[in-house]
Amino acid sequence: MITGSTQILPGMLDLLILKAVSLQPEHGYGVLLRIGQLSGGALQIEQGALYPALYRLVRRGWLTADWGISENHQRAKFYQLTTAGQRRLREETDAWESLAAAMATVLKARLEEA
Amino acid sequence: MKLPAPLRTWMAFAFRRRQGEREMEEEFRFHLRRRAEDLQRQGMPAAMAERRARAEFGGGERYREECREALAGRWWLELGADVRYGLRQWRRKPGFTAVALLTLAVGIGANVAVFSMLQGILLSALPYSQSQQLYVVHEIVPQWSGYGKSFQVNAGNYLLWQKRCPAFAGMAEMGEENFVLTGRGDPRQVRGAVVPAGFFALLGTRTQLGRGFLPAEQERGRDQEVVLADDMWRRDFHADPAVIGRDVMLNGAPYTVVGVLPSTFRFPAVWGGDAPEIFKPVVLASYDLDPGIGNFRYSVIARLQPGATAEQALRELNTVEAGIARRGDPVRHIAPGQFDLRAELVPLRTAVVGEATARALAMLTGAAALLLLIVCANLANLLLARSSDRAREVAVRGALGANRSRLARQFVTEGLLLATAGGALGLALAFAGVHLLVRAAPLGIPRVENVHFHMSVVLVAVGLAGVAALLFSVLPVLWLVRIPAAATLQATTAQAGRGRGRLRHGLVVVEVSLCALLLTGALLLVRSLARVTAASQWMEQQNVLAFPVLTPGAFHAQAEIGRFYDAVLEKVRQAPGVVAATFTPVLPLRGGSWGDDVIFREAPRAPGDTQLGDFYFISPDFTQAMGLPLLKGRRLSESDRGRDVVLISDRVARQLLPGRDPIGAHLLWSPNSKAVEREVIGVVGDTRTAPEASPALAIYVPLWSFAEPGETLVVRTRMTAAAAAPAVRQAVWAVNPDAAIPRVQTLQSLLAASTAPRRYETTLAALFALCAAVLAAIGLYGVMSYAVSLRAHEIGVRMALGARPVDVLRPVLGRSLGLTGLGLALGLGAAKLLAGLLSGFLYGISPNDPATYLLVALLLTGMALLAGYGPARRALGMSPLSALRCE
Repeated sequence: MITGSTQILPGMLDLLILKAVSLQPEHGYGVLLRIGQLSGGALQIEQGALYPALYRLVRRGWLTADWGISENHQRAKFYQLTTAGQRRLREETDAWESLAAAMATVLKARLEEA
Repeated sequence: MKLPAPLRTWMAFAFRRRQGEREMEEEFRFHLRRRAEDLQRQGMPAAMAERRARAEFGGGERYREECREALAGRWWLELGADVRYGLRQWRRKPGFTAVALLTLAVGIGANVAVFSMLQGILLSALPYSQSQQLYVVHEIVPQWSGYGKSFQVNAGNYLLWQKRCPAFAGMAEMGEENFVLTGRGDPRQVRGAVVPAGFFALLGTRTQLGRGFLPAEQERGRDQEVVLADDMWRRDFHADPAVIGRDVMLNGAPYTVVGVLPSTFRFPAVWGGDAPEIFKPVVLASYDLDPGIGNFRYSVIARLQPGATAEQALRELNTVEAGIARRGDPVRHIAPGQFDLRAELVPLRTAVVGEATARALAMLTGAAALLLLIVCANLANLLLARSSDRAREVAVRGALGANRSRLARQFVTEGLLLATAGGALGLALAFAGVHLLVRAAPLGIPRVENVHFHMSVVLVAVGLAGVAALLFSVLPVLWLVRIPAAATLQATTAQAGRGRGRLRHGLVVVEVSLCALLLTGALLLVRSLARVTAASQWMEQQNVLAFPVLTPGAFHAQAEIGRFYDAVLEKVRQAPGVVAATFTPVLPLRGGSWGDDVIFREAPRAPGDTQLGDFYFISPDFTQAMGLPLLKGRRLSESDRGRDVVLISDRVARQLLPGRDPIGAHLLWSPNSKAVEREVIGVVGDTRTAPEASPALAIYVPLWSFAEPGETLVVRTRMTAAAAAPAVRQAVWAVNPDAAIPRVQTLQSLLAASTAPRRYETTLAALFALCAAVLAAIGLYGVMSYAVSLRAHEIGVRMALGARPVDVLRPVLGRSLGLTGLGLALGLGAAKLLAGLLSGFLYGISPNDPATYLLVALLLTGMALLAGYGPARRALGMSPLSALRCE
């Protein structure tokens, strides 16, 4: 495991997965790689924890899962965003951004006052 | 085969689960392999890369479990666990489970079976269009209520109603008439009915072939036409579609088949018995045409106009009736205004089902409901015992972190499991029960062919099982969730159980009292049955053959029928072993005798003071063949032919000719508006028209003046009836080879048939009472054993300190007896209050019969002793050491 990386919060994982899959259909390992690539290795997830999250998202109808052939010719399960998933991603992104902005404002204000 | 939907869902779930599991493993393997490959590519040795990949993946089993939950939903997984746990719980206590299951099954089975009967016979609509508009009309003469509450209909009156009662859309008069069918194999008796034109249309039935009757065919000479019921068409004509227009020989005359009824047609059997197979147009004789009071011979079905009410129709009928009563009836010497005349409208379904059957069904439903109450009390009792047992388990699980809703769900699952199994068992029992009820149903229970194992009935069972499930799951949850864990863990079993003791005792008292109520009713019925059976056997019935003989041809000439009977009797008397032989139109105990005023010249009464008697038309051997003892005078003999003589029953002599010699008295009787005096030549023993009736005012008139077709031949033989039967039958055929003998029966079996419905009802009621007694015994036993187990510790200590067994036994037995006594007092009190409801079913016994009440008390006391003795013995048998250790 790469040290010095940020452990992610529970709610964040779903959003990250939705984002990773929104670019193109991915298998589980691919989702992991994509998150690592997009965050420049800053966000680390325990690899196994990815799967319960994926299964939950499928069950909620935001992802679909289909068996396909991976880039190195192995059978793998690919996850793809559904329309509901896209909507969810937008909502989550908006919510996250406003939260992040608010947090940033709060934190900055503190710094300036101090 | 298509599986029921819930099963399919469940199987899909089970299948998906296995597949999901496989796919999950494959996905994990793929992930680990790809990670290991990537690590190898970075230069790691293969073995190390694999280890590293697995480490990075994290706790595999934990994620698998989380995935499963995500896949199936947590709820399903926990349900599976609950079901497995529940099954284990039930398996661990096989005795308890068996009792609970059987209790449930008996409760559900009995109620569903009875409900099927109720639904099929009483509740379901008759198979006619707008059947709620159909009524049967009866006539009532209040002054003759002693003879009958209501009568069939006088055809002349009926013709007036047709003209003057606009509230009816249509009416039909019908009568029972049997025929002899010849020319198609052995001569056979055919059950028939005479019906008017428009009869089938009135019921909303269309013939499947041909047509119904035309109005023109209701005239003598033009009525040689028949409509066949579907089963006769199939049996005698092999379902030949070309049957229309063909001739069929009935009573020696040709009749043309004009129509065939559909197989769905059910005749409204208002006179009971088997359905007619053939229909002929009704032709009213000239003496039927005058309105009057008497000659009530036809059954009338009427259909209300749409929108008309029964009250309105009855008002119209009664206006006509009042007019008839005001005019009087000169034919029958009834003065204007001497008698009142009213009509009565009975819904067709009520008439077809009959008062007796409806009442019996109500009684059985009541008994089944009582049984259900006992079942509920018993289940609640079992549950209480169980929840006390499990209070500690729940407390431990709670302390270990199980939350309350999770525990509650566990109990709901267990309750559902038990209720489902019990319900399934109950349904199976009900299915078998309905089958048996229908098969065992005696002749004369109407619409029994309509009793099926119906979907609505299954719904009732499911409802009952649902209530049981609720009971089984919600109550323990309510009790258990309230218990503070710490208190339970500290308490001994004895302390934990004590609070609920009072409730359990209450339940046992309820059970015993309901059981006492049922037992009392059942015992009263059983004793009535015994009395009725005894009453119907007042005459010697052994070795007596009784069967109707129908003659085709010469059907209308009375003299010729008389000659035929005489010839048959002469032949039969020559057959080996025959003691006496006679013809009679009606048998004792079978109803249907001719009713008329009994008045003697020697004992005149005021006009209007009518004493209706039962007139039997007999040939000389009648009294011997029937086994009626001769009390005074002499029997009828051949030498009386041509003389106006009569025999009377003992009751007639004592009631109407008190204080004088009845022999030589003169009966004034005018059957054909021609007054004749008949001299009494003998007095014979009493007879009854029905097993339940009191001895009839019976008058025996020689048959030769009034021979009717289709009378019953009664033959008393020296050998067994069965051995004599072939010779007797041959003797009849020697006189006329075309005579139809439907079935040779013994008088005994004929008379037994008259008590069959009562035997049937009583058997069912007794069965319910027996179930109730067993359940109450189980309940009492359960409470007693539980009470003893709570006190095992105490008993052990006392035994160790030298208490005598009797000191230990006494409180246990005393408690059992005390509870039973309280239940008995309540139950017998209730029985006394409700006894009136049963009085209609009883014969020769008061609903307050003290002996019956005493018997119930004795039976239940015995039960209480047994229920208390078993557990008490066990407590005594326990070694003090093990008793002390059991806390």
